[in-house]
Amino acid sequence: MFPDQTFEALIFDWDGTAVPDRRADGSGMRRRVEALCRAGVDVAVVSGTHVDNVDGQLGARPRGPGRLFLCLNRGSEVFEVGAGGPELRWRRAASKGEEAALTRAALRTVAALADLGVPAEIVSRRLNRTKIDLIPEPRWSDPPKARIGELVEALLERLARHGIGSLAEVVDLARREAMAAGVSDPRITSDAKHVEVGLTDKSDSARWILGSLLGQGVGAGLVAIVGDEFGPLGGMPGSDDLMLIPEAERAYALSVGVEPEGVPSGVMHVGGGPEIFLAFLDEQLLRRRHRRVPSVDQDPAWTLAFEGDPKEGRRMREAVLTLAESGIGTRGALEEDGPGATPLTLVAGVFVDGEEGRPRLLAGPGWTSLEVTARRAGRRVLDLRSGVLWRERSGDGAALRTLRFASATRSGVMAMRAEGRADDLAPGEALSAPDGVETVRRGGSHGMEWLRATSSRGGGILAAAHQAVGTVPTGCTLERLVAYAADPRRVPRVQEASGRLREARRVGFDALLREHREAWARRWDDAEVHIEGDPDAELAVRFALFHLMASASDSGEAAMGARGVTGDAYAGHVFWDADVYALPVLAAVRPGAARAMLEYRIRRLPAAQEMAAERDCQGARFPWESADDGLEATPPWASDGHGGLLRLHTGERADHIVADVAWSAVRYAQWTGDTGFLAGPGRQLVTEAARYFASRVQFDGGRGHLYAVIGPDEYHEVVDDNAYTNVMARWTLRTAAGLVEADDFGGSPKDVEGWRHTADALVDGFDEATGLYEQFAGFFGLEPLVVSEVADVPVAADLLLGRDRVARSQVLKQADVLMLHFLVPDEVAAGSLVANLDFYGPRTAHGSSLSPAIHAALLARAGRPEEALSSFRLAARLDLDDLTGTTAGGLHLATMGGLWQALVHGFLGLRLEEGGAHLAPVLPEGWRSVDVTARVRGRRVRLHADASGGDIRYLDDETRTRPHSRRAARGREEREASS
Amino acid sequence: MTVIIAAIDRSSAAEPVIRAATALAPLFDAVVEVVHVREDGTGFPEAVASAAGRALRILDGDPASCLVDEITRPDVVAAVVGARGGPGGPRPAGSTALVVLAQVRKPVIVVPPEWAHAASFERAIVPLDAAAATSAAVEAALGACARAGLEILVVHVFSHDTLPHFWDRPAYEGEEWAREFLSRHCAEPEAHIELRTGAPAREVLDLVKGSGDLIVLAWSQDLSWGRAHLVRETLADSCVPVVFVPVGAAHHLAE
Repeated sequence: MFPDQTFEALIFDWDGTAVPDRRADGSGMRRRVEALCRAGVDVAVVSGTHVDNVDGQLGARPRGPGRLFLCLNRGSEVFEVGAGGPELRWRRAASKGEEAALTRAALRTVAALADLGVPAEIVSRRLNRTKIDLIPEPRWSDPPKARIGELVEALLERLARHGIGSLAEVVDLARREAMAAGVSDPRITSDAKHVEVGLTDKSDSARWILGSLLGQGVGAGLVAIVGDEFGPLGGMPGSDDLMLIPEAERAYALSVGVEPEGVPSGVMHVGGGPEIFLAFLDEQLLRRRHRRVPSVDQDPAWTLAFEGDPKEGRRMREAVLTLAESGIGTRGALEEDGPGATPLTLVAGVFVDGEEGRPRLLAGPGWTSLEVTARRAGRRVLDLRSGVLWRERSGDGAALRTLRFASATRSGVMAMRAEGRADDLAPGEALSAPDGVETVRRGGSHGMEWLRATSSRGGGILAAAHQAVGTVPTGCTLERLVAYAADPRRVPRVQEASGRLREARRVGFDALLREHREAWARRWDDAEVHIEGDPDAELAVRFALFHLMASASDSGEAAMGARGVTGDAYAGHVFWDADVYALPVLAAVRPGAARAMLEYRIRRLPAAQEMAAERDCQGARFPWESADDGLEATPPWASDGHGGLLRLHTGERADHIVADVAWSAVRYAQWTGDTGFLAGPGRQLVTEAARYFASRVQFDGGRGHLYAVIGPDEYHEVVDDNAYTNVMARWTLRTAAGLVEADDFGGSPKDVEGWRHTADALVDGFDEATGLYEQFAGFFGLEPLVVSEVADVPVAADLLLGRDRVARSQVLKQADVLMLHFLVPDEVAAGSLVANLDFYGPRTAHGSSLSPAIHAALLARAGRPEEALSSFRLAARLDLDDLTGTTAGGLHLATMGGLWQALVHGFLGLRLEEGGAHLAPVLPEGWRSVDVTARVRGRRVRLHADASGGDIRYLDDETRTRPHSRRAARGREEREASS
Repeated sequence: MTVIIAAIDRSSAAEPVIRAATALAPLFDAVVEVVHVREDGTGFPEAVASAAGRALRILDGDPASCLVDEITRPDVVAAVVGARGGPGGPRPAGSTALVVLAQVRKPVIVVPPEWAHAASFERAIVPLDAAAATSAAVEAALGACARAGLEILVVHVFSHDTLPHFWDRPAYEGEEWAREFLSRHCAEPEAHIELRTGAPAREVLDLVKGSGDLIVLAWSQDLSWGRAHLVRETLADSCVPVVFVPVGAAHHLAE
């Protein structure tokens, strides 16, 4: 009779649904409501009556964690009921003018009915509404709900005698009169006996409570709405139908009423009144006692869903469905994993010696394995809003279901529930030894088991787990709680994880899930993205933000590898991907995580200083690729595709990493306003970078050069005066000088003078006549090949043409010069974007996954939003469509970071300057509006853009709204100016 | 008992054909049956078979038709034929062998006449083009090779049309791309992979290191399109036996 789903919130009508009438005993309902709240369910009673009536009859005094709301007075008030009784949470306050208009409206309605020969009476004036009795006869003075059918019949007969065909006509009349009386948005309701003219109705109650639930991370798909009057009455929609607002589209609607004219589509009608409703509540309580698997809100705007388990998408899905938290990530392998699967749990920063001693991420104990007899995946859903991975496989008998999450509130805690047929599901061991890890120890006691993987580099990952197995009529259930402890430098002790596990067990699965959902909801408050008109793009950006926010811890240090902890590709090594692409996003939406990423660099300054010294330079030379020790970890060789080996020079020559780190420190400070950081450890990052470049530059007469470097375009190795490297070095030198000058600490005037001199001397390859930067010395003399002559973009041109040929041509992997326009627009010649975009764009193969997002941003800033959108979509779908063929090895976090930056700095045209933030939006035709929430200098802001322009709204100061330039400026290059 | 047919003619490939069939028999869990379609005389084939310690069965009729009839017998799981020099190239398969290749829906092994002695095969080189049909066609053959202890080397050659869109850092990208390719297209967990760029036949043949190598190649049995280029060049230039597995054919390999 009832749905096979455990709901997180119940919204229900009172009179006729929860109780037969207002004199009935409410103690049974009270017991259940309190039990539901104890179990963590939010309960909301929706009624037209006032608080004394409902609270007096219900009398519940729940003590949480679930909340009890009374949404009363027909949508005008909300009370939250705790141990101390109801407390007003919200009230719709009518103005004096609205009050007067309501009175006029009621009088006009009664008069209009009288004109038609229908006597009616104003019987009460309640908060924000007036009630008119349409059938003021003694025998219908207080009809019970069970006689609703008779009442309707009597009323319609009465109306028909005066030429009124339906109750709907009366409602229309009341609406007309109300509007004529000055009520701008009248809410006309009727329970057949009365018609009420008001300012609010049950839809307002539903909207409030659903909004509140969303704030807890509970979407409508996890909500049941129960009433007794969804179906039409006398031609009018039932009063409970008002609760089925568009926001409630995915909610489960259940009617226990008589519903003489049937129920609307989508509403389940079981009838039976309050007795059946109580049975429904009992069934929900039983599901919770049985530890049934919670559900997930399958909102297409917030979820990624996969059906089946095709071999060609198996490992890619594992990466996409990764759940991570605090730098601990578990891939979304099926619980039964099996051949071809790569179930991995990785911890950022915990490495083991790999081939030739090069560090790679250590695989930790697994916690998601189950013994499942029938290997069929069914449907898997990753809910980005609440950070849970849910699975359901239907078939014969009870469905197999699982739900798991990595707690967003308790570092290292993971939780999973499963249910299924007893012959299909068995728990097995809670923890599984990782493949390929030789030093694994296992132990346990008192129902807790633990497993530890130890690294040859001194660290380790330990997991402790407890699981409970239950029996239900349909099969069996399993609840597994796990706690991790990991350390890059020492072997973690069992107690470190077991303590966390004990605490997690004390809190319990339901409460853990509840607080986890709330935590994700709070995160999204700072990271909302809404692209009106492009749900695919919107989902892709949310997907990117989800994984970026999940991949880094926001305390200590965060070593964010190229693929985060979503896979072991790139060995977990840290590249400029982290500093330039991912970090700025986190600075805007999760500043603590960005700070932790910078801490990774700060703590490795000594290693960087050592590397600089080895090159006879001063300052710090950060490694192009690094692991735990901060030393250079770039492999020296790679396959050449013809059975030979290529020498890789990036480790020795990609000096731009030094400036990239400095830039990320400044970018962090721009977003966060963390002035203490730039006065302290952040400044050291910048000044040590400046010292490195000052000592690295070689002078030729009055001109400074950086010889034998590699820029981001790795098709051209070991070049002189790479424009990207030189300009970023110049920016670093000038920025460092500025920092020292601003606060006379950490550098001497002599340093500053030298840095400024060096910066001014550095050549940048700019030609004023053409407006072009030469990517490096001699670039313009290379074969003038454009990509379209040889292939469609994107293409791995080095594979297509061979390394030697691309090196001799002007074909680029990614455009160095254009990257400057993105990162340091004030450091390049004003007005030079378009010329360089037109020159380098056709030469860019986009063979780097980092490239499309940056091009999208720059195309938007050049006033070419449709071209920008094409590049944007490429970045957006990179992992979702596995465009690289390597998503299986982990997600491209840098592309994800680039995607968000393209949206914010490209399409919205956000610039962060000392005077404040400024927008210059350029939107594609299909995007009706864009809203992005972020934190700017500690304040939560909403960036909004639409066809008329953009504005920045400070959400903690709603009165401050800054209008910005309109699209009239569209087409103008580099719309960086604000209004 | 299942049979592997060793079809010999009067060319210098006759002896290598019997040798290859003998080395391949364990993979197919089959016994070797040596046949010859009478043309001008049977002395040479009889001598070759006798020297190999094998009985020879003489057939009469059109060579190609006779062999196709023999190989389509239910108990025959595969056939071994010789590549014979001719006017079309340095060592194209003879017309009989081409007809057999095109018509028989079972693995056919083509052995070059100069194939040096190998008591058994050590390594299977398996070109895969990322088409599901190709991977499925060779799956059983790879399983048989693995069970027989052969090292399996999958080779994927990027062509202009199949190049990856992105190739971030060469040191890692190839490794990761290869791992995922194997995951999708090769069920043998111990298989290795080599990624190459260029002309497929040249790159595949470049990988052959010794007489213990065996090339396993799925093909559509249509020389006019698809993989025909690779098939033709491999037929012409391979110095080791090539197992041609028809795409979509039932698997006739030992389980």
